Amino acid sequence: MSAVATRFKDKAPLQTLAKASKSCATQSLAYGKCIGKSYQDVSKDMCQAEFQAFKDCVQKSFGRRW
Amino acid sequence: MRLLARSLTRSLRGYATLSPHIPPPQAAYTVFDEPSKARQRDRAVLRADSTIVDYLRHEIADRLSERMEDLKTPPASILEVAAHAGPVTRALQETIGGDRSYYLLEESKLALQRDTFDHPVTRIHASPSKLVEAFPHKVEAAVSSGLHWVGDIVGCLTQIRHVLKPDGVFIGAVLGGDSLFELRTSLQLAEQERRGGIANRVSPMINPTDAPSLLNRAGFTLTTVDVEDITIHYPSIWELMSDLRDMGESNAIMGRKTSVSRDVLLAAEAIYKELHGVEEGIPATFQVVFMIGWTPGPNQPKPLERGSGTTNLKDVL
Repeated sequence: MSAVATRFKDKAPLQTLAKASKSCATQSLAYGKCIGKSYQDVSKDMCQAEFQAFKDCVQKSFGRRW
Repeated sequence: MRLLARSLTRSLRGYATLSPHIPPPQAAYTVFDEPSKARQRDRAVLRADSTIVDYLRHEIADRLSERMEDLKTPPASILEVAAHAGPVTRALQETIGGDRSYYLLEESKLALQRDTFDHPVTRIHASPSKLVEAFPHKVEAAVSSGLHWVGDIVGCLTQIRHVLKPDGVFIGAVLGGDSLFELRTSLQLAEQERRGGIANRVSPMINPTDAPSLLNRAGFTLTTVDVEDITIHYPSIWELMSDLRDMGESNAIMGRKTSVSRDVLLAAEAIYKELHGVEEGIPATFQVVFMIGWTPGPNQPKPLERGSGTTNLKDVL
């Protein structure tokens, strides 16, 4: 099969991500608050639950999962 | 049998040693990837309208030209180093007029050619770290608004001193260490929480307290350094980052991590809002360090010899 150059429909993926994130303000705030409580000593996956809720909302709005 | 062999080899660990055949380092440590920076600036200019994001450079250029106005005699020839599109030259042409020679030196060809000026300028396409080779003339003044991408800053300042005539002046602006600290800390916290480590996302910038010694090491006299903070508010981290990219100020550290995941960006957005957010949006601080230095000249005031004082301080106090 010959290599065909794929044309990505989304020419500005950062803007799409920005829009998706803006529509999930409550989850974003919740995650921010969780980090803000103990930002002096951050460890990996400290706020996993809040981030997962935020990410699920963004993925729904963005249109694909990653 | 093979499993046993593999476990045996794993328990016999080898230790890495420096090969005796590696030559010692020849050149100074390169902090920034200069060809990448030139490419980033070219791409930024090719994008729709890069003049929209010139607000920071214009602000710095205005403040630099104010300092130039303080000089008793305006210089007859001015070189702008690491000029990008030449905002300082434009500001100077408005304030001190056009019957002088203006030179622009910039590594990115597209940025160099982007703007037209009211008075003639000579454009030189070269890297600031190779200034003396590319610019064989001597000028009375040198200005710059973008030396924070030069890796060997003392070397560059020394080269600037070489292209200045005696009693010439260098008025430059560099972004200082506290610039974009909100972005840097948000990205670090986000990467720490999401990935368990941090990567170098915001470039190392000079400490304002080190600026006088940098100028002195380059051979300038009568040095003056002052720091001004410019705070710009953005609606969110996305606008800040896309503006930084469109200004041509993307990351160009040597050995940088070239990708950032969406998870980290989303986390950084939330953290930035939480830790630094205000009602207008989010602030981004640009700490601009203005440096003024003079090349040694015949009539410059020098400190007097020790013991030559005539007034006793006890009489005055």
